[in-house]
Amino acid sequence: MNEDNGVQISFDEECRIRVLDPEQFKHSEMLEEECRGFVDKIREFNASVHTIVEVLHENAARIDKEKLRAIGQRNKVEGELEYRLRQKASLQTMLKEKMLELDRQNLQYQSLLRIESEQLALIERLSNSETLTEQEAPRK
Amino acid sequence: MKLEVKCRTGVHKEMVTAVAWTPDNELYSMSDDNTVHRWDGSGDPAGKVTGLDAFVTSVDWFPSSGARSSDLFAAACSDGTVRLITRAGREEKKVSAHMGAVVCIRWSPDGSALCSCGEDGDVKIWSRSGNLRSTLMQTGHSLYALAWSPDSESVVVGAGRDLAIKGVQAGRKQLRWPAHEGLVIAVDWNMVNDLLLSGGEDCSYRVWDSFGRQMFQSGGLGYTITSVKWCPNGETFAVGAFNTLRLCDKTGWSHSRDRPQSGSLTSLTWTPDGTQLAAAGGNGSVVFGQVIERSLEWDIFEAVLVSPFKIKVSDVGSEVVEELDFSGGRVVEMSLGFGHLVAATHNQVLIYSVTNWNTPYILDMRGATSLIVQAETQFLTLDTVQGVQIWTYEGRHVSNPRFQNLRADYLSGRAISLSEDAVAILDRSSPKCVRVCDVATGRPLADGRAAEVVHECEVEEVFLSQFSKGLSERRLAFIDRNKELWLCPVVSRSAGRSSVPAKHKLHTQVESAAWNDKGDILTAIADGRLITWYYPNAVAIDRDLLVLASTSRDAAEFGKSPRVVSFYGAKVMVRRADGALLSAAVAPYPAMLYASVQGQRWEEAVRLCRLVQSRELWACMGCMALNGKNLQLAEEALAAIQEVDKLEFVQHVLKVSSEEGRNAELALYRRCPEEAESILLQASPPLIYRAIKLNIRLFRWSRALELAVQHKTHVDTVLGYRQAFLKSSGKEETDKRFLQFNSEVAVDWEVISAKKEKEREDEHARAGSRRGPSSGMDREMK
Repeated sequence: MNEDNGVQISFDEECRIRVLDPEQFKHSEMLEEECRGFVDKIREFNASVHTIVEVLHENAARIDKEKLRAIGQRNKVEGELEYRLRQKASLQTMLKEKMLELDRQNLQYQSLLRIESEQLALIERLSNSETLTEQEAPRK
Repeated sequence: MKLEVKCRTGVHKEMVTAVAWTPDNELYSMSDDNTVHRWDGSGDPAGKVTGLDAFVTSVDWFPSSGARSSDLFAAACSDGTVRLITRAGREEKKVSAHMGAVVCIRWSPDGSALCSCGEDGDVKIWSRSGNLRSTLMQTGHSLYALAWSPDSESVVVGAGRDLAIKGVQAGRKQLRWPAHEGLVIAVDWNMVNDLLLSGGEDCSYRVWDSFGRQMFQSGGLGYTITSVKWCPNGETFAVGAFNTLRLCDKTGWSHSRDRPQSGSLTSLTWTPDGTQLAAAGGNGSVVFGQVIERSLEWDIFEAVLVSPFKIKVSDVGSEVVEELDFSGGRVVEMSLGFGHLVAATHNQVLIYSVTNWNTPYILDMRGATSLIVQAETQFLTLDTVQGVQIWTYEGRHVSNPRFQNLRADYLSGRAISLSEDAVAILDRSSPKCVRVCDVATGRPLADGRAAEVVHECEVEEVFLSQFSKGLSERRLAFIDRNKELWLCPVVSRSAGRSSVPAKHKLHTQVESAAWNDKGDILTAIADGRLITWYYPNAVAIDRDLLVLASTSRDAAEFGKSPRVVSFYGAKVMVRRADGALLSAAVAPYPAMLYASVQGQRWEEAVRLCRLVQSRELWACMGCMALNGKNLQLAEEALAAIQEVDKLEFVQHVLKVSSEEGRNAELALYRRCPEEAESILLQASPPLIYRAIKLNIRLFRWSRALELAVQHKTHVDTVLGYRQAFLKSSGKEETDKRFLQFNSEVAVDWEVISAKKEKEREDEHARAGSRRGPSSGMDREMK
């Protein structure tokens, strides 16, 4: 039967049955060894590729973020002009309001000053006319 | 005055669209997160009321009447329904009102009707129970704002860029005018001052009167005005826009400007007492604004409301500062004057004297006081429950003036004036009529006195004189719609004959006026001048003297439409249209003159005139002397102002021997011949000859003849004078009665002269016997 298949049953040194001839067996064992080494290497490679990809992703995300931020900044810069204009307008209205308030207070102050001067004049006049009557009195 | 703004976020998750105060100062807020929340009066959230299955766009609380507070509100929803919801959040009624969203909804002030407008461009009136009464307008484009007139008879609608006033009853005329350069977004109409307020997409807000005349236009705010609302007392209003809340005076100038981080304020509402407002923020916040820093000035005192519960009073003279705490409740109204500070909280009125800040008199009130008016010895409070009440400064209730159709919620400070013995009230239901009530009884003055002063056109503002004692000297000044200033006595001089007192026009184009407290001096701003009448009563004596006894100075610094705020002592305070408070001085002498004359110290008064040597003062003195029947002084005063004709007349009056005769001549001087005649005829025994002679002098021939025939005396005298008159003017007799008597009675000038001489002696004798030699007047005459 063995001759039929071309398979040679043999025994190795440890008296175990071998279907392959020792030469081939040795060869295949070597192959297995090498394959394992290859798989390990591939796995290692895969891992390092993964880390690279990860790093790349990370960088991409960072770049995206930065890009967005840059766009945002650019928009902000563009918007700043408008914002400043608006701010300026609102400050100007506030200024205008304050000026109005100041005008009001000034007017109020002016009117009070006027009253003061009028009253001083009155006091002046009254003290003068008092002296007038005193002077007039002996003449009478 | 400014707002203490508090912006509350976190309660609503979406934009707040509508807010409404309940009558007892709780706030209800509606939001696009489909919830209704409640807030207490100090602005803290008090829990969720209910959830709704629609987005609310507008809400209005049912108006309360009298003491009863309502607990129902109407909400307009974006699904085209109008819902009536109770305070507890139960939906009482749901009506499909409009195609598309309902945008705005308002109850009429009397609570009889509800008006809604929507995106379909219709304006609809609903009954109290939610039945459609009528479709008022169909415009075809979305409408955003509406408001009721104070009398609940018409509605103003923001129709595109226009404002349209439309009567609720059919057949009323519609008034429509272009209002804004953009869409009108918000509109409001005040109960008390009858002014309209609108805000639009052109970023401005404007104030209108009810005839569509523009009273004020603001500058651009930078943002669309999204809400406007009058304070219930009509003195201020609030304007809301994106991150903007303004408090403005009714004349338009801004008291304060705040920038809450709230987004657009889509809805604004004031508490009924006008001390606080709330606004709905576009970012889900609710903004509360507390009115603080109201300040009042009187004499050397200044009172400032520093918080709703504290008034700070500073005495400028001694620089003493008092702090008055009102732990009982927020201060809703305060008034300072006549030596007293009167402050009202929700249920109390506290009366402080400027000499004692520690122990006020406390009055318990049933309604919240909305107005305080002070006079020398008493003050007046106004609330919607009790109406007008008068109290002394010791806290004693004096009276409760009332008459038919008195509506307390319509009254403003301009429509009411208090003096020591009379109170004048301008009634909205008949604005041509000023009602005068007796302070002591609270009833309209009756029996031959004026219960009301009826004018030809609508009266806008009333003022009672403050200084003189007694009703007979009390004068009422008022400004009517044509800006004319009128003066009339509260009590007519000739009681019984005509109960309507004579009105006299003082001036035209008058913006504002005020009485002084140290004398019956009236000041007014008219036509760009500040005019002060030292003795306005002169208008009833001699118009020429009125003009002489007044000063007028240029008042260009007061600008357009100024208001006299107060006239205390010799100081006039004027509020310009832009809010500046200016002072102006008037001469202090007239007040001194008044003090002397009131104390009957005529000699002192004359000395003052001699010292000051001003025409105005002498003219004032002359009027006072004529009014006080002190003819010697009148003579001196008229001589001093070189009014020769008047002087001669007074000298002529001095020669008249009987008192009645002199009174009659003075009545003639006042241009009241009827009164003069009745004085003579009512004398006992009647001075017939004098009455006839009076009519002859006035060329009232037929009346003279009538008297002569009636009393069967001096017919020949009348005929004689008549013939002499006709001869000198070269005319023929045409009067039938005279022709008849000419043929019956013979005219003999010698007889007439003899009779005249006898009459004169009779009168002299009678004057001598009646009054005797002790009469001061006679002595002075000699």
